[in-house]
Amino acid sequence: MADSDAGVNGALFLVLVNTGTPSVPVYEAVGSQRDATVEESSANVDYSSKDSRNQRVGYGRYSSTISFEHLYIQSDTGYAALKAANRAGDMILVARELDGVALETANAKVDSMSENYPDQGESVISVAMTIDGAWTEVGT
Amino acid sequence: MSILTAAIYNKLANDGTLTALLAAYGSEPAVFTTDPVPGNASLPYIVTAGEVTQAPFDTKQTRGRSLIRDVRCYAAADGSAAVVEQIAERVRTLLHRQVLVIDGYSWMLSDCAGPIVADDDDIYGRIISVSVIAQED
Repeated sequence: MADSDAGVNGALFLVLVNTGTPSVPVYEAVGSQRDATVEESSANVDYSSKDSRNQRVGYGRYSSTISFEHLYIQSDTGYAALKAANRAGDMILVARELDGVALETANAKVDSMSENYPDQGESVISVAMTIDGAWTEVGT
Repeated sequence: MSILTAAIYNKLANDGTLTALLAAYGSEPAVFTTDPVPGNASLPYIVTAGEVTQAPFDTKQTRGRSLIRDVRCYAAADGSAAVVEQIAERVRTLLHRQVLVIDGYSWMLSDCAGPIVADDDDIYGRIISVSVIAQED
């Protein structure tokens, strides 16, 4: 694997997964990542009334999802951990890392893993996860 | 030096079926990786000199290359293209979907387009374009 310090186009944001145990986590970056999307959203609580035409809203349920894409590497331990968690119905600890520094961790459910193996093309794995609870800053 | 030069040369020059169809240059089969070939080279021969295109094939954590390289096959224009076509077909067999050993890289895929005709006045030519993707180790 090449040294990632050898140049970055865009943000070096990586998704890490726990390849250790829940009590002694070992976070490893899933190999050969090409894209990642983290979404955090809050549902609306609408407390508008007839007293005013203005809509009034408050924060409802918070939720967060992660989706990312990586090249298929048969021996990659992060990929294997995700696949095992998905098949066993286990939650998996994930972390967000930026420029080599783990920022936040969370417990996640694997929603889907899509594996695409084209003829004469690179094989790509697409993963979608939903966070259970909230993100926790590392060190808190 | 291109990362593909040695890989393709070794693949071609070490195949007995192909080298039996080629002339010799010195004690080696006439497979050249420079352009133009030496003036005293005899036909038939193969020239593969550098890439036509070369683009990154990177991820956030890995580096790689996507390359296209031409392999040009030539034989004397003696009224029959049988020899040059045999050479070109053998080159395609050796490179299409075949693993290449690339120093410092892991081969991912190879794909050949052609052979296409590149005849000239007194020389018959066929060109095979090899697409290769490889990742740095």
